[in-house]
Amino acid sequence: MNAMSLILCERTERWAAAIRLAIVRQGMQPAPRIREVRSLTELEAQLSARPLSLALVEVTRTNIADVLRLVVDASERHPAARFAALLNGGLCESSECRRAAVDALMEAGCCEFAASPRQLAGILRLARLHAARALETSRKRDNLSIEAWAWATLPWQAD
Amino acid sequence: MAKSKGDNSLTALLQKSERPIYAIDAGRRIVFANSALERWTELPSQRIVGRLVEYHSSPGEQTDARNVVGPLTGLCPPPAALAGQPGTGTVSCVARDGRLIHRRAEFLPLESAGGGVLVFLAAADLSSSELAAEMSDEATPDELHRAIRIFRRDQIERYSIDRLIGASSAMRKVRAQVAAAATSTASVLISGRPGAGHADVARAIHYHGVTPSNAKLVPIDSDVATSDLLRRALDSLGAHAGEARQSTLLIEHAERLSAEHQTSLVDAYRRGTVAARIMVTVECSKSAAAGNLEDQPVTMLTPGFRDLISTIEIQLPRLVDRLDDLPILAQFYLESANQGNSKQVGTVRPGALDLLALYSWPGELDELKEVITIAHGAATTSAIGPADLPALIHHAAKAAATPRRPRERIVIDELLTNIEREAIVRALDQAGGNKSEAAELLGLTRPRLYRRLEQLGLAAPAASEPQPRFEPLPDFREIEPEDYGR
Repeated sequence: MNAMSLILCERTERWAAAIRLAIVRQGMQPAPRIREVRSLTELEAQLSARPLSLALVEVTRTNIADVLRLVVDASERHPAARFAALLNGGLCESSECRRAAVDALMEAGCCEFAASPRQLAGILRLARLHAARALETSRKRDNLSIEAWAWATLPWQAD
Repeated sequence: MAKSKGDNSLTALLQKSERPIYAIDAGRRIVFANSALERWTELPSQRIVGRLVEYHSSPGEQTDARNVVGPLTGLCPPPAALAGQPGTGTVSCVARDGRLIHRRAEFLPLESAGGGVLVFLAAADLSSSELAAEMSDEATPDELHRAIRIFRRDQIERYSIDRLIGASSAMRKVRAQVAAAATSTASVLISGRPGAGHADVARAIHYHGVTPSNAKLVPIDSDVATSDLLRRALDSLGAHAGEARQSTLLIEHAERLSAEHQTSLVDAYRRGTVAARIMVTVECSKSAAAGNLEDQPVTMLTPGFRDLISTIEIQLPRLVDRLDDLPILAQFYLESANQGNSKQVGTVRPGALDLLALYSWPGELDELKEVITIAHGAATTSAIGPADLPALIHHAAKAAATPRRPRERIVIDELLTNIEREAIVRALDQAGGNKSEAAELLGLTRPRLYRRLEQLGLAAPAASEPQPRFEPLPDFREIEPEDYGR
């Protein structure tokens, strides 16, 4: 019983590989289970099944409108879920344009941003904080006893 | 003189053009607009010249286009043109009937970067099919611009003050406070029990404020706030401190914001480097009587921070204190559940509403929404009846008459021992029975692990030393003992 999942929505596996490696390198414990999806529709379905998740969404120039809509809607439907944006290199040419996109994503509800798979420190920090919060939320939501909650926090949980 | 004469004749030439033409200066203010542009925008020259064009801002036209004095967002050139690169794209404005109309435009930067831009519009509007064709091409920065504007327009609709539903006096007071807060730029503190709709109230204030339509909203979730995140948020709001921007820094769940971060915010505001109003939401404990901050042990606001944020205080009422609003709220959430759903349920029957009123609603509006969504799914007729409500609601009446569950008691030593034992068993399992590896996984020395195994009764008798856990692989020929050494 691991309260927090990390759902990664991207077209390729570019970010997944970097995130998995960063988790291992930083020795994040308990390591979150990463679920990869390839479309925003799949992401929505995963969030409905796992509303305590941290969703990492790749943002491109062509999907930004859909991402903004999804983050606003899903934040309302799943208040315990959190979102971070993985900014695709081709999102904007100019820094001003990029800043405007980041402002809008933040306004929609994204807590953190990564501009490159080589800059994942902020995302991992968010994952750690979110995991701690998700456990607390699940304890309250599922009305777990202290003991049941303690068991749920142990490492090496079965999936 | 010759120069002046040339300027005049150029201006006259541009003025006479049948194509709308305008020019913006380095500060993105419109400095020239010809008559054709006046006709297209249906605004007189004095309502155009001097106005800002802002990239990626929300459309002022959404609320009352004809009276907007803020930026003309639809006329903003794309970022490449602002950066000094000539190009084409579309610009838009709002027609008298409220429709958004679009024209192709050519952007001619006057300097390599950071200078003004001269904009020439096509002679006719884009038809809807031409516009659709443009949208279906690979996205351009201009379309990114449009996507963000549409997002902001949707946000304004989504967070309307009218959606703060309820006819009770408590909610009427909240709406009046929200309207008052929206007309000022004072700091706002919003408190209430979890799920009471803090974020909706904060956003309603931001999106319906007197602030210019290009104002930013920067939300910070205190649960995951870090110094780095806070610094970036403040930088983004401070970058335009010299301009008359009235953005909003929204600190959500401020009771969970560390004292260090509260102090950083106070310092930043004292230095005057943040050009944004601060809005804060605080969640009171579920047992709080009426969201009174003074009663809240969880409230960890430093005095300086409290001073910074509490100009306007809005307390969200508990749902149980405004049960008169229950029918209209239930109907509202029912209609939300109907949206985009093939199943349409018309109403909530009085019997079901009576049951809902017996529940204590610790999760406030969020919980009501969840319950109605579940009931919507369960309903087999065009109305939600008592049978469609989740079991939780049915138990509420009984629970109210039943003594409270005795407090959970634990024996801490026993619990910790059990947890340690389980962790060791799991580590051994992970290590395939290898004690050295298990000790490493647990951060123990090998001798200490052995001691703990013994103390916890986990040390196996000598005869039953851990057996190898490997199963023979199916593709391998089983090797009989007598085969060894051959």
